Amino acid sequence: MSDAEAAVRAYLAAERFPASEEEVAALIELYPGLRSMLDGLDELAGAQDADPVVVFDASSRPRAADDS
Amino acid sequence: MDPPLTITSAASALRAGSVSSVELVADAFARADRLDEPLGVYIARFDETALDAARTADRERAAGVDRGPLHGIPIGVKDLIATREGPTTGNSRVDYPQWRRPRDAPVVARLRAAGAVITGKVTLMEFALGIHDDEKGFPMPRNPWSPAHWPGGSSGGSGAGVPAGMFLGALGSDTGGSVRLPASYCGISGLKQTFGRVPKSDVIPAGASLDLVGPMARSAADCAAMLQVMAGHDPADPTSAREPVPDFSTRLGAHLGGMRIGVDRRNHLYGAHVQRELPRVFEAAVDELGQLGATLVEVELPHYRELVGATLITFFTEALAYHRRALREQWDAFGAGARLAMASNACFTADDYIAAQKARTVVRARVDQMFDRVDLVVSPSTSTSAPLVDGFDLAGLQATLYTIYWSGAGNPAISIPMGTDDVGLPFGLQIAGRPFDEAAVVHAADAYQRVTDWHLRAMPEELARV
Repeated sequence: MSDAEAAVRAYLAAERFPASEEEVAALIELYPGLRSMLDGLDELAGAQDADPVVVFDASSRPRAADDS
Repeated sequence: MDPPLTITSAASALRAGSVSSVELVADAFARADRLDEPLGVYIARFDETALDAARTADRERAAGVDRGPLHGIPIGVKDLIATREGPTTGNSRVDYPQWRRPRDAPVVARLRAAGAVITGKVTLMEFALGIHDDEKGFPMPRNPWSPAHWPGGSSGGSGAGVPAGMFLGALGSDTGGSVRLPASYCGISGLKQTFGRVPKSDVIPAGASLDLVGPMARSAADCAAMLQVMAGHDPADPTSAREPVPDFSTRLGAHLGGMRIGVDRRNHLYGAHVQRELPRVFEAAVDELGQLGATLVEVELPHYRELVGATLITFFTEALAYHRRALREQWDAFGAGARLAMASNACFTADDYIAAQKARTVVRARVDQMFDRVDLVVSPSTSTSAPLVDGFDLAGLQATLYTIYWSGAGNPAISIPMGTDDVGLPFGLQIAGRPFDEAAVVHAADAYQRVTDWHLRAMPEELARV
């Protein structure tokens, strides 16, 4: 089993997605290209200490979807 | 009399009394009667309520009430955005009870308050990311310039319906380019304003930290008129910005003298994926901006590849998080393309996601520095014209999209038509600006459209006669 296949089968099992074998094969093919999107992100100067674009605003009062 | 092509000209005709809103809406529905089957635009038409709204607009106008340039104007709505006439499908057979309930999203309510006439809900890629699945029974949107070609996505119905005259303006939504891509392929204007400028409450999420609802119409001036009504803080949307809303039209018609426009050729004009005709068309558009008085400056978008990657990871991961439970419980209800696209995103981990958000912070700082040197940046919107529907490959498409970068940065960007390829399919010019400076973006786009007519071109005769 290739690394890509092992990774795809592992995450599908963890997510409990009922993909067919044909779909698993397609996902294995997509896997290297998707992971390559991460290339260089950790090497960006200043990235380690940058604040991520994830904001927790304690003053906000979010509305739950079923409140409306 | 031929009906007006733009919102701006229709508004003038309505004010002059040379056309009524009922006539505009009836004409739009007559075109939909002829063209909807070949172009696959509508999921649901609201003929009765739209004609009622048009009659109300005409009565109000006769009584001296003028709600502004959208008063009595037919507008289509992407079926990812809630309206009071019925459920919101997301172009999907997946059952989400919360989206069955009819209500107006704030952005739709604002359009209605300005007198706009909502004609119906239009097609999209399933939940804004899945390619069409014939087995699910939704119409397949096609390009008005050549129905063998794709109109782009995800707001494909919005993009196809405007040049076909089925409505004068449309709402799309844009996460990585879903307003600008169909605008580019369909030869119209599509504006992605600054993230947070327009509320996205009651819109099915795709990538929650990137999503926005944007205007699509023939001209940049039309997009500005729509944005004027759509923009403003919404307390129900935690990502909604509190920035004051300026008058987006004040600079329309002004010269471009003194404006510094950056041109990024390095990331956009080279590579195997660049269509042969594109550089010539783009350089002609850049020359035109120079002749209009702008100072052209060669720039390179900082960390282009990294921000595109970070943006896609963000989009994909946030979309998966929204649909994860439904993927477990309703796998077969998703189209084959949508479920495969979303399942593939499970390859990203939580620390991958955070790495992407840190990268966005770093690159945004570099982008801000670049805007110390220029006021706007132009590029093509895509590296090709519309691909054929048959054999369409979504994974291969990503490299051709030049819209993703600005989604990750959050800056405003518009796509306007700038010419065609050798068979007459449109190319788009993308103009991006500083955060919350949409006025500069539409100013430059409008100046270009005052000396060109690509945005007013009629679709092919044979299709118009269907």
